[in-house]
Amino acid sequence: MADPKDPIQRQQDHAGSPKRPGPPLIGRHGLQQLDLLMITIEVLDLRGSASMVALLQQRNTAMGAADRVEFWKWRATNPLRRTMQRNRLEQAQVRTMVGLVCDMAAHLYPVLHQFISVREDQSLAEARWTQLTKRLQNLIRQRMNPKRAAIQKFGDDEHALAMTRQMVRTLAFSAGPGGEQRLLASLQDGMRR
Amino acid sequence: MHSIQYSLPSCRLHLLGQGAEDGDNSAITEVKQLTLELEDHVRLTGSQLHLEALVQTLLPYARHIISGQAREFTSANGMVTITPFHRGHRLRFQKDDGSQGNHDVQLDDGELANMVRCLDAAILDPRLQVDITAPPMQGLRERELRNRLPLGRRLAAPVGGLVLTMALVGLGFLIPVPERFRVTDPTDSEAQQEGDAAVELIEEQSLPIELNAETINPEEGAATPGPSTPPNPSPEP
Repeated sequence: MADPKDPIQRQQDHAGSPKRPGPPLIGRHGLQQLDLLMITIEVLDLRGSASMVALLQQRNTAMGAADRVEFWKWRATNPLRRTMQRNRLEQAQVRTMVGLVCDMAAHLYPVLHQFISVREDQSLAEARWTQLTKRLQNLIRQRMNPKRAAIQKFGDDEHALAMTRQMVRTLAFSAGPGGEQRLLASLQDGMRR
Repeated sequence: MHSIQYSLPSCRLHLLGQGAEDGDNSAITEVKQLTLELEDHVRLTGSQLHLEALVQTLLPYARHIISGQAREFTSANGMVTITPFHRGHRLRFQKDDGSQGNHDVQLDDGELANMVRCLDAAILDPRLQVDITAPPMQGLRERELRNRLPLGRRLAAPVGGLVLTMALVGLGFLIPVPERFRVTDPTDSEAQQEGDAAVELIEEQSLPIELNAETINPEEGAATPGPSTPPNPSPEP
């Protein structure tokens, strides 16, 4: 009987049944949305990127080290990026990223609530939306491929404002642990026939 | 009676219920009363059925908002209905006082998000030991996402395919059909046979001419003139 602790036996098992990647959990649209949500978090919180890496390291202590570079590689699977990575994300990586977005949304919930509540002063709210949209446009211009039609459309202020509103709404409704299921389901839109 | 409360700055969900007699004092196994307060303008009260109805409607509704495809949801018991209304949402909540009336509440995104977060907290709370779970959620089908693509882009593929097919068929008519693939009528084939016979007859008639031409021997002098060849004038000695 094979000893489960024997390293040689483990190597043979691994060679005999090579690890195949499972079906993708989310498609192209989902990868784009996930990265755009993270960019929106960075716009809402200037230390958002560092917070996400810290949160990732905290979550992934069991799975293995995931540093800033690894995190960037995951995010660069977004096909709209200037420097796109063609490697496919594993299901666990997608779930980790979704959890990360929901946790960050929960941290930022008071800010998100201010944005989506109509009880705020309207002129102040408009100014806040305009500022947020400008910052999001700048960050997207820096990081995304300007040849893509979706990015070119984002140059239009009206379209950019509508997209920013949708991103902020998405973050608000997927905040917290209960939001993970909702966000993941929305990232899978169009994959079901 | 045990109570659990979930609070956000402008939303409070208060559950009052029966706990296990020999279990944890803080756990609720049956909800007797639900109170949902939104800021200071809405106060909804109900029972466990209301809580179940809220979970059945508000959570899938929020999931559809994330996809940008908000639509009406009604609970199976008809106690709660939520629908998009202007730039906000309209919640109809059946009154708990025995009357047939409904609370009709207009909510903005912020208030709805607060309610959803309170419900999330309730169903994930191990202290609430009632049989209420979030409905399963899946990605929307392509046909449910029709609003996402503009009409022009949706029609581009079928119209393009139709135009291309018609162009190919038109080009096909312009190319002549090769002889061997051409289908002819039986009458045409009889005429063709007659034509072939005529060609054979002409060939037979022209055969002696060719023979005469071959039988001319320049060394033997003048050959016998054929019927169609003109007489060869002999030169003077």
